Amino acid sequence: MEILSLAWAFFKIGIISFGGGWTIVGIIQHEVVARGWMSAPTFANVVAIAQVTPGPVALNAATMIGFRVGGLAGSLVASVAVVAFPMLAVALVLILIRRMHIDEKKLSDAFRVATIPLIATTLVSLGMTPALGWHVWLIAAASCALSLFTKVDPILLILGSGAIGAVMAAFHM
Amino acid sequence: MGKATPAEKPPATFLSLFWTFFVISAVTIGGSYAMVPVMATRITRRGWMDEQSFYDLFALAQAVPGPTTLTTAVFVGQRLLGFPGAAAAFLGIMIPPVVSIILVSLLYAAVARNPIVQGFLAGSYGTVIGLVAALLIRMARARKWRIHEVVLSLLCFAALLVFKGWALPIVITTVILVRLGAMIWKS
Repeated sequence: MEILSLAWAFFKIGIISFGGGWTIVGIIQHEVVARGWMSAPTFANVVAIAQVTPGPVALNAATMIGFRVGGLAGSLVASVAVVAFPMLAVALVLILIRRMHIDEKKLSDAFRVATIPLIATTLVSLGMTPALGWHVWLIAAASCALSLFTKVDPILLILGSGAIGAVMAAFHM
Repeated sequence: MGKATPAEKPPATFLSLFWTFFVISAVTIGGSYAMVPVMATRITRRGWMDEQSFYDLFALAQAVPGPTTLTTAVFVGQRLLGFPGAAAAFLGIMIPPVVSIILVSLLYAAVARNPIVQGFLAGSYGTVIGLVAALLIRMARARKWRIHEVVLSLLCFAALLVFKGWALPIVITTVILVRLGAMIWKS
């Protein structure tokens, strides 16, 4: 039964998870802590790990909580449940655009006016993470400039800056 | 779609799409807005889509719930190769995090407390912040702004900061006002 309520909880989270990762994390916290599956401090740990492991943050959090609650089966159920409704919505949007001859260009252009502030708020919440070292900000500024003015692959930037951070940690800088 | 690119780059197949999204998902840390620039670079470099069309699909992905990385990838896959493309994108994005999280859950204590791992994560977190900032600048420069759109965008930003759990109604209201504004502008 635990698996069923896990599936249902994450399916519901998927329905209201507009606005991408960080919004979804807030919703998951509410749902999971209220059900007593996890204490608030443990949830904060899970989010910290979800944020630094590869993949979408919300999906990572779902997989991890599923694992804590229901083992391997729980993690698979939670991962699939959280994306089930979003995938239905994608199919629906594609059908609507085709059937109703909605001008996709105009629609997505209007969405950009709202997408840009959404990204800005993400930047604010990323930057407000407590206790970021000075080198993190230096790496942030350098990565931003490199991404804007060169054609360097962002994956290389991520791996390279990670290596710099690891070396600094190894030498206790 | 089946448009030939001048550089004669190979078109997307199920496997190449799957692999592209798999790699993106496997190495990108920090969530949607860090992954989107990586995705844009990889997709345009393979000649599958120009940057503008990619960001149009990204904007469209904001219209549906769910992780934006996943919904953007599925829209891109669908555009390039129909249903098989969408399936390839879905699997490519889903498999790495699910597998890595299960591993991390098993090794939780050893991995999370290792100072070198933490150093790596802190360093790459810096790049995530930088990439999100660059994405913001690039997207803002890529569109022609009318005055009412600038005002609406700033209002939307303020509203999102104040009413944290209300992203959806705020976004929908902004989009409706932008379209209304465009109609008034024309008449």
